[in-house]
Amino acid sequence: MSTAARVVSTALPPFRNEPLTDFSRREEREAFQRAMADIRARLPLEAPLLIGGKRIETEETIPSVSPSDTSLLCGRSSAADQAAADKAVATARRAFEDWSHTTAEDRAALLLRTADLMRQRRHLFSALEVYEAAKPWHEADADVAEAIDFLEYYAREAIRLSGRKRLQPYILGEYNDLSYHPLGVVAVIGPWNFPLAIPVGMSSAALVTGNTVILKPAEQTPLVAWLYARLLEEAGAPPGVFNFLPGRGEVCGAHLVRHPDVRMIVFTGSRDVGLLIQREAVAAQQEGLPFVKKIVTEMGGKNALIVDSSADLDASVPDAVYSAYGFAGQKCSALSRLILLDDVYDVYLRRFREAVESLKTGPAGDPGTQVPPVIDAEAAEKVHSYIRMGEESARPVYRADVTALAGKGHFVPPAIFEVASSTHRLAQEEIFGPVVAVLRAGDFDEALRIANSTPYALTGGVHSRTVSHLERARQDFQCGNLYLNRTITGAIVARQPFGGYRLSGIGAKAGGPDYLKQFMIARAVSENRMRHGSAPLTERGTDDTWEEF
Amino acid sequence: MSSIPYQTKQNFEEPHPSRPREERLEALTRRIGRNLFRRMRSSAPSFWRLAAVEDHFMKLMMRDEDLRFRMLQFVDVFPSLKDTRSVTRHLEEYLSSEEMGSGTGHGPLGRIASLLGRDLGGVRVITAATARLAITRMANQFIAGHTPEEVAVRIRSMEAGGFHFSLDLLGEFVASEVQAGEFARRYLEMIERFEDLLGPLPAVFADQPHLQAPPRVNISIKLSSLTSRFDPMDPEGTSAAVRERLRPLVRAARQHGAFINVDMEKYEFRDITLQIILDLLDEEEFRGFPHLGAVAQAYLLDADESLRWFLAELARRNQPTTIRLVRGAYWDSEQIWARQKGWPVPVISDKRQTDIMFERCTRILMEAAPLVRTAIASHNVRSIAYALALRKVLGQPAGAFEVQMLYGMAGPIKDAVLRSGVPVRIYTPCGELLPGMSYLVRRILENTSNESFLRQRFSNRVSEEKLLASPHESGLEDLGI
Repeated sequence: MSTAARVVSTALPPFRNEPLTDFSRREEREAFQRAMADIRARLPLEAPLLIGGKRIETEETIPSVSPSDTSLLCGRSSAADQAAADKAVATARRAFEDWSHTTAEDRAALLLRTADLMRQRRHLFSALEVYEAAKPWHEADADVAEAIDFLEYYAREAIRLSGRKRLQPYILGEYNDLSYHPLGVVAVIGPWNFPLAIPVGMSSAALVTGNTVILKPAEQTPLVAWLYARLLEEAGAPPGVFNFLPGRGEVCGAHLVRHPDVRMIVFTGSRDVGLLIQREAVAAQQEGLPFVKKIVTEMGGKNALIVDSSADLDASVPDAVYSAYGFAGQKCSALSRLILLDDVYDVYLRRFREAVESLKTGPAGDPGTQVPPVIDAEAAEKVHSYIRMGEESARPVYRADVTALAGKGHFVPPAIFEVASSTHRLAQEEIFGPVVAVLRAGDFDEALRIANSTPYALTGGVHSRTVSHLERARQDFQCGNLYLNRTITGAIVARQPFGGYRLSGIGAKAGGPDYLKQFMIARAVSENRMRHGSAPLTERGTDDTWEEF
Repeated sequence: MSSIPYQTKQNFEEPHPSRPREERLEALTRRIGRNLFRRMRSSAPSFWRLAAVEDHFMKLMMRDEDLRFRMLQFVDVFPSLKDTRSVTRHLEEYLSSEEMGSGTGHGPLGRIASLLGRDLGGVRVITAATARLAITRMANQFIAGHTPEEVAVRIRSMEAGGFHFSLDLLGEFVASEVQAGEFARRYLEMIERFEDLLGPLPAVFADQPHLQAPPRVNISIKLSSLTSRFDPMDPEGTSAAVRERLRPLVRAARQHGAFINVDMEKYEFRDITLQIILDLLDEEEFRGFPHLGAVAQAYLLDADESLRWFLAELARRNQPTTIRLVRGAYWDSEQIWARQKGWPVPVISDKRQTDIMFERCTRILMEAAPLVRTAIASHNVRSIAYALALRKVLGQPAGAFEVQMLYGMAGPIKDAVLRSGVPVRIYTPCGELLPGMSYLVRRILENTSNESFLRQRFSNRVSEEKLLASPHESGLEDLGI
């Protein structure tokens, strides 16, 4: 066991969440502003490919432009072609030989060092997110804190799951154990909306379980991911164990998915791309792979909040508004359907509308901004098209006037529509923008039926002080993360393992106790220890055994 | 915007006055305290003389933590329940569900029965009507009226008894500009109209100049109710938005002769709240206006640092004002918020240390006279006696400070303090029960808390000498707070 590993296993304190920055403190605000100025002065950044520890710049580059100010070039990333993707896979495959034989403690130590470095440069990461992803200060800060949480949590989880665990019941003369082993080369395809936390979570889970990784970041946010790649290098990730492959999804992403040496694909993003990956992987299977490609996909949501008349409206309205419009609704967990019971409908809708009318839309760097722009022109057009649809076929309740911001960045107006039926497209399709569909329910049962009427099952919420309603929701509200009397976004590692089912994902819970098992295969060994009638009597129950199984 | 210079916890040494002076102060404090107790002895405060129903309700809450939690939850949802059927249903759900229980096997209803010394059947007759009666009575105990007119009636009789008031408007949490505008409108109306509603000032003050504490109309406002974007992350934007709505109020206060006291809310809002007050007073138009007051919360770990900073800022501007010293009403919430966020808990965990901080802040404040006038907001006889003793030791005139207490609480203490010659102002909430619920829950939490002075005195019968003891003398190490 290496020194680092021994330190890890003997002195690792229990997991605790990384606190968010307290921006009510002047010194924190000033530190953040300094970090923003620091980053601003260094733009534009360059993000090359990183394959086998070597940086490779490609002829073609992809610009990364600030959504708050399209005249601001944050930087450029290289764009991997198929040959580069092949090279990355070959490199990762070679690196797997050694990496898969390291100890969990050694790999955990890598994650913990990375977490330390990230903590030291926390505001720099956040500041870059403000520019590149148009995350408002506290959203950027929360993303970086979550990334640190993933590193710390998965490091501990890997140690917990390592080694051979003797299985019960104990039978004299028979020794049964189970252990987890890495899969191979894992392609990680990340989203732009949590440009650090999600790529870090997915890739660190793969690394710490002994796999080697190729990270393909989102085209919109390669620079934040590149800072992470550099941090892993600095923390001592051996060459080839972690490879960074920015590029276009349809070129290098698709190639990775089909590649016969890519054992597993971990994806977070849109439903369409997630399902495409599924199909492509199946197609690749038909060409005679000697294993079944493992796919973990986290996709969208059409998340509902149910409010009944016993809810505390003072608390509910701000929670609903933040869940729907925070980060302009660009979270897979964001609220996009508000289901109001009849006897609270009018008063709630009025207060909700008034609160939404009071939101301030603006550039992400302005600390007063509550609704930032959406990520790019395509996203903005999508939001606008749904708003047009709503104005034709639903009852518009409110649409903000953002014309003063027009032309500066990808600003879209926060909007509310009343829809008559839960089959309306505004109540069925993920918009990924600041648009809420409001539905009326006669009673709580109907509210639950409406809530469960989409193909998604990611997050959901109930605001109620009626104990039996909360209990009904626990049983029958179809979603991976149910939130009672609080916001429905902002899952916290370990405390709220995150992920949905149906078309929201395969049900893996990021930041939860089952997540790492996705990245491994379990092997059971049974040994007969009886020799001519003699068996070691001392064996009973002395070994390391599972606490939960 | 000027800066807040303190960044980290500093250790402020206690001033080192001569030992004899300290001993004199302590002896004087006790003597004054005993006199106050003597004056109080004739009656128990109204809160502890409640009718049977709500008295049982409060006693139950004090004896059983789980019941206290369940009942507070029920009180919390109660005003939003529209009909008797749903009141009954919620009562059943809150008191019957084992989910919330401690898993002892005894249901809450059974425990209520055994605490009351009755059988279960007798307890089941707790009907919706009884609960409604109990909660409405408790609300009426703490909330003076639903409308300014109703409140004016109460205040007239308070004034006739020699008390002053500070009006607190209960309302919805401000999540929109419409609501913020509505609050500003109601505040303005109060400043402009309330004196007319009250009629002429009772003669009681005319022949007792030391009990006068003008201006007569005193309004307590929360700055977070003046904008829907009260965000300490954006102090400049928040200050600008708040001052936009505050200016007309302060102008009206100047014109009509009213006092505006800025209430203090959660810790996260403290620095920005003080900063906004200074920002407004830095505007040419309002420079030197003495009737815009602030609050210091002694339960905060850095209460003294913050107070010294604020006083220095006032001194630098030669800006007179009145500062209300409170212990703080969000102790439970601050604990919970801090733990959920992984932030250091900003409040002092120990009651005795809070008492020490309260006395330290009393001294800091009273030594800032005459630029700053002190309002001691407390029901704690020791705290009040300390301020009275300090006034004498510092040689300040009667009327140099006032005492503030909450409407519906500690009646005998109010009377005793008034009779000892100190102006007493009563913080008087006005509004509907639904928006007033968070205020009511804070009051019930306070009154049923083990640490409550009133409970110690009137329910637990702790001895007067013990209640008057110096917080420095309880045998524990001073933790360096």
